[in-house]
Amino acid sequence: MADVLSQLAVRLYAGDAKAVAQLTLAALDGGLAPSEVLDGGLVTGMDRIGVDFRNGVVFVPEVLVAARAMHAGLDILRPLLAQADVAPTGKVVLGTVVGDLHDIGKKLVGMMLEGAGFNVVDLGIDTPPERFVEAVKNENPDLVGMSALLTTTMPGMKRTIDALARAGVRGSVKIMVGGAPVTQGFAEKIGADGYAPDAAAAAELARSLVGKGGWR
Amino acid sequence: MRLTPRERVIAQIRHQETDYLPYTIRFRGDEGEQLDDCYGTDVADRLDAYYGSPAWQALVDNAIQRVLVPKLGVDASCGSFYTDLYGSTWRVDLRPYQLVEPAIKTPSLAGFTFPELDSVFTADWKEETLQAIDQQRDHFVVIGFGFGLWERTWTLRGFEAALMDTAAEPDFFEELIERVAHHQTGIVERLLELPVDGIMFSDDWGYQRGVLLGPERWRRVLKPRFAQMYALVHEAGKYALSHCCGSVADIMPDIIEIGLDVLESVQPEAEKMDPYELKRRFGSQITFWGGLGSQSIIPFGRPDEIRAEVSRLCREMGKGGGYVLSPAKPLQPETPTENAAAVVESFLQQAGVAFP
Ligand code: B12
Repeated sequence: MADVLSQLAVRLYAGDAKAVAQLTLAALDGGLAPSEVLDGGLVTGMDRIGVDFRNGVVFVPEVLVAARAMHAGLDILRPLLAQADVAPTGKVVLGTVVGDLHDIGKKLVGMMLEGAGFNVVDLGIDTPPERFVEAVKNENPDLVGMSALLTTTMPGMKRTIDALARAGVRGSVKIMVGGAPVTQGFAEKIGADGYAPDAAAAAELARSLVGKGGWR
Repeated sequence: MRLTPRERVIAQIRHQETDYLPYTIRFRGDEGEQLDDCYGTDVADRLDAYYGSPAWQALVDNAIQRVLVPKLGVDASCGSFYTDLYGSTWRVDLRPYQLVEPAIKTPSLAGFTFPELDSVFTADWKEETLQAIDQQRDHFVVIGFGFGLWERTWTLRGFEAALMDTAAEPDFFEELIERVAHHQTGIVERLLELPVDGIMFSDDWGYQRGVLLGPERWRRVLKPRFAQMYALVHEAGKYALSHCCGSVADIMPDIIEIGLDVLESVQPEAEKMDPYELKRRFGSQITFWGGLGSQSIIPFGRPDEIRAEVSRLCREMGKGGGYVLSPAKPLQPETPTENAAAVVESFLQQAGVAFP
């Protein structure tokens, strides 16, 4: 069975959605628990692609294709995980801030978070502070992730944090920020809980923010 | 004898030092890219108020002037949606406009045709363009057609889909980009008939951390096609210039090898894009245009820091020629007025223009 899982991680890394779906079913047929398939196969594969992306071994296209393959497995596992009452690593509400249409960085972060076992609610692009507030109230997440690619829209992050505070829910979530022009210093200045420069680091950060340990 | 702005640019491209550096400052993005509608008055309007009149505008003399081929872009002037000549639909009542429905929805070219160039490059168009060029006498005039080779593939397919195609549908992507290259080569040939100094390509190969598609794929898919287009430009006795965002440090030797004359933007905050380091490594082989940080010093620095950085750019980047001074992007709407003024004043000062 360990063999099926390592195969699963390998096919996921290669972006082979069909094989990932088949191997996920095979692993379940072989008697593995859904959480074992998730951790031993999908999470392992996404970990590897994340690390290689950060190290410049693979690039944005490979990560997107691997994430599509991951979804082929996740779609099968999700209902089973819910039935078995397996809690996700955590829940994240994610969005690109108001006025900003840049999409791919935030999507990659969402994919890596899913690959790290998080449940991700993606609010999309051009997300006003009120939408974040509403989502925090309705979804009760552990984390809020905001992306900004423009110096013009970076203040939207601060406005969102302020809006969460005004709505009385700032204390119930950890906030992480990122995007090309965002820096650690900026994150600290606006009172976010964390910053990460790339999608692999974002997953690592998210895990540590919810107290589920770091990478590796 | 005093150089004209055009002569100054040409001298820089030939790597000769000039009396002062040719420069450009843009205050707004191209039509449809502007964020001012959402973020208040644009920078130029604020400077009018700051200086008490728009007289300062007449002092700014951009050495390189761009003429565009508007029909190949997105018409954001009316309605909520606009379908471009290629069949992709954009939402244009938002600024900037965004792609909502790509023309090619599955990885197949079945049934797709490229627009006829005769419908774009009409006699009227030529007449108008010649007039626009004529008005820029003494300046270095470039003509551009917006979305470049890679960008046209993603505006046809959607950004995420095109990125995935490059890895998951390599045969389709190869066919698509070959067709786009053929089409754009046709465009370049028409543009080369005009009395311009250069062709302004525009293709964002980089993002903050590196080459979006990865250097190897860039070399395989984009490099040979750009090599051909740049060669055409050179055969016509003109210069090849290209806008490109983000970090392209890993492919600089390739860009130089295929003969790009001028690389525009030079975003200093992007990985390995420190302009002084680029100058040291590649400065004798290509001309850099840009380099004043639009993600850092312009929006977040102090006016005195901006002035100091501009003099360092002039001193170090201008050494031995091969440099055109400019912010990495048009001044974005959040730029503090004092910072915008520092950019304008330091650019003019190095050009020996007495400021009000
Ligand atoms: C592609 C692109 C576009 C595309 C976007 C398409 C799409 N569907 O997303 C289009 C053409 C629409 C576009 C438009 C504009 N753009 Co643009 N764009 C880019 C470009 C070239 C690459 C961005 C990208 O996709 N990167 C790839 C992804 C994978 O990287 P990433 O987004 O940085 O994300 C990674 C990390 O930042 C991090 N991360 C991201 N989000 C988050 C969130 C969290 C919580 C965490 C922890 C981490 C994290 O992880 C990601 C993966 O590793 C950049 C150049 C650059 N230097 O980044 C310019 C850039 C961002 N754009 C810029 C500008 C100015 C604009 C426009 C105003 C005008 C224009 N055309 O240039 C409009 C504005 C639109 C708007 N309102 O948002 C400027 C911004 C300058 C500034 N001062 O801030 C840049 C930097 C270009 C430059 N030369 O200066 N753009």
